[in-house]
Amino acid sequence: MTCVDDALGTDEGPKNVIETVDVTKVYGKGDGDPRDPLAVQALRGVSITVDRGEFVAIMGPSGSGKSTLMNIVGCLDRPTDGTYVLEGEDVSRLNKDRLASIRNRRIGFVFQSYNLLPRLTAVKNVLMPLMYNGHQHLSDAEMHERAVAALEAVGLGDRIDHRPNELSGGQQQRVAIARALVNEPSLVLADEPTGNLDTKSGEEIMALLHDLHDQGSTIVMVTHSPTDAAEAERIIALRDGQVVSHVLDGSASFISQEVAPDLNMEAAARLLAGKEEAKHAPSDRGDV
Amino acid sequence: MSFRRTLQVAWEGLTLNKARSFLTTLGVIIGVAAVIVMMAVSAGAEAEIADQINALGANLIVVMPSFQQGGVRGGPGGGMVGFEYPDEVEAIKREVDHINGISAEQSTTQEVEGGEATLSDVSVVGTTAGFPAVREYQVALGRFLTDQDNEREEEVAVLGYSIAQELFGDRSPLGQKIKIGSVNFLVTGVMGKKGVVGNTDYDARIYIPLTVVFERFETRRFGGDTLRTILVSAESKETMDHVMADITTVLAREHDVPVSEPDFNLMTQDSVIETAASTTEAFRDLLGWVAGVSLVVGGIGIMNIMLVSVTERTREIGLRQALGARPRDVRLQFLLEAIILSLIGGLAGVLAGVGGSRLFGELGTMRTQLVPTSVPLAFAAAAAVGIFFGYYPATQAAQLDPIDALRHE
Repeated sequence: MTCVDDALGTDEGPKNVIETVDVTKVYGKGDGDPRDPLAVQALRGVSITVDRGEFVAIMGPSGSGKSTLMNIVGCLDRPTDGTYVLEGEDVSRLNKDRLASIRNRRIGFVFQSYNLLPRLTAVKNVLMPLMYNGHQHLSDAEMHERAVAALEAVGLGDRIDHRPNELSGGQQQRVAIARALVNEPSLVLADEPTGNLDTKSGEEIMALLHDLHDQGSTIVMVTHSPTDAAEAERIIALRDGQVVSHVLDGSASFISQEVAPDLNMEAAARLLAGKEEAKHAPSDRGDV
Repeated sequence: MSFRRTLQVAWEGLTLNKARSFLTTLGVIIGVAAVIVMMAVSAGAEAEIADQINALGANLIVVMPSFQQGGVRGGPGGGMVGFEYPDEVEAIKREVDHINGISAEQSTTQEVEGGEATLSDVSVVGTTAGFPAVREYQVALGRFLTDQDNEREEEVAVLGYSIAQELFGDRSPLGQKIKIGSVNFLVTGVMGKKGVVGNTDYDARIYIPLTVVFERFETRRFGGDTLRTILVSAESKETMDHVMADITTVLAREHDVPVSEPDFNLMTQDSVIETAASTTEAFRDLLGWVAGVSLVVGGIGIMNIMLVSVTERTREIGLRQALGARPRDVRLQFLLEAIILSLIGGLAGVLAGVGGSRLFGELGTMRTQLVPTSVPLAFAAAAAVGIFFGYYPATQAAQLDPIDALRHE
């Protein structure tokens, strides 16, 4: 693992941040044998690639498997079959401790409901990931400094000692984003980041994610909102546990216009099917 | 996460709900305090008994006849064989070294009349001049009985403290006449306060010459005046065994029995203390169990609250896991919460226990004696309770699935 760690934060790291190959996830009794009649196949062979510095949206109706994919990509869960390579390291069979360590250092989570601890001030919420980082032996002062810097980066430098209930929803989500960034992760995973926000706050959060993307962060966002999805460079649409389309640059606006009103992913898939063939295969793409 | 930071996080978790944390520790506080107070109470009871026995007299050896089957000297039907007075007492006095004093006792119960009062069923003790020394008993007024009183069978009496009060009130009884049974006695002295030792209230007794008891109150046995109690005090603890061996030799020779099969018993405070100690030990064990049970109940309280806390904070646990907490980090956090609760409870319980022991003692209802080892013992028990009863909830927390935990409402 040291060679992988050493590669972190340098430009010599692998080009792909995420690479899943034929990932399946079966929920069910016992060992998850696919022939088990009670088993539910949440993912049926998903292969996606996300390059360093990409901003990708994952869309799909309820039950499409996007949450399951998100959990696997976020190292909160392991695939039943297939491999998941995160920054060149196969993480599909790691134990809980190793996964925790990967989440801590390589992944920054942004949740729909912020998930801030109400008893802690903004700065204390932000430095939580630093406390679980066993690789850096930071002093309390250094931790505080880094947490404050992260809050300043999201424009909350003047709110560091506020508790979540003293902040607006948008501000709380900014705190959560600061928390996601504080360990300088290779991947920011945002799960419906604007789902609980009014339009204006939502736009601000999207703008912030854009800024982060511009500064080089790799962002994967799960969303129901076509408007938000349109902000991404690329959309991965899921249906019934399979990838139905990769929508490339420019197509995002198409999807929002044609499909957004009722979020009919089936229609989107049909519309996109023809469009997709005209483009080169998504995994060939790496020129960002 | 480092231990110090986990400790910090655990502390934050506890201060989240201060009232509940306090109520949870209350169980441990009571348990620990109970252990300490119970041990202090039973140690106090033991000390009380030991003191009473010691008050019988320092290095005292009590010689009493043992039951005999068909003994020669005790009469045709057997029974207890006494000692001949004064011959056998004199023989001990003459032949046994390292003794501080020797005396004998022979009690009788009589009606006593004197001053303004008549008292029935008064314990009248016939004894010798050596009695105050052997029993560590002080004369408050006048003089005690002398060897001359015994030789001449003088009808003189020394009153116990409360008897003197009852008969004469505030007046001095010295030189007054009292009537014991039908015999008139001259009061020559009053004893100081000694109180109840064992089952004997020294202050409620009257002391007269031993020879007078034999002469006036107790029927003479054939073969001489037979005594049922000889008291010998040895010079020191170290000479006790030696003195006892010599007494046995002398009395066995006088009684014409083998040393290995004496018809008498020698008792010391130590043997009496041992008998008493076995009783108090059982008492202490019982109290210990009661206190231990309350500590376990306190521990169950901690486990209960920790399980509630884990359920309430499932989302927080999920978040921490997502942010990189390993199962062992989560377990340590909740285990530390339980340990902190029980250690604080232990500390407060030690204070409450020590204070409670003092209070009990000062209120005078019970004698208490703080057992120094009970403090670390109770504290360690509290810590063990925290670890034992905190482990299960902490493991439950550590085993939560981060995805389910994050979704928990």
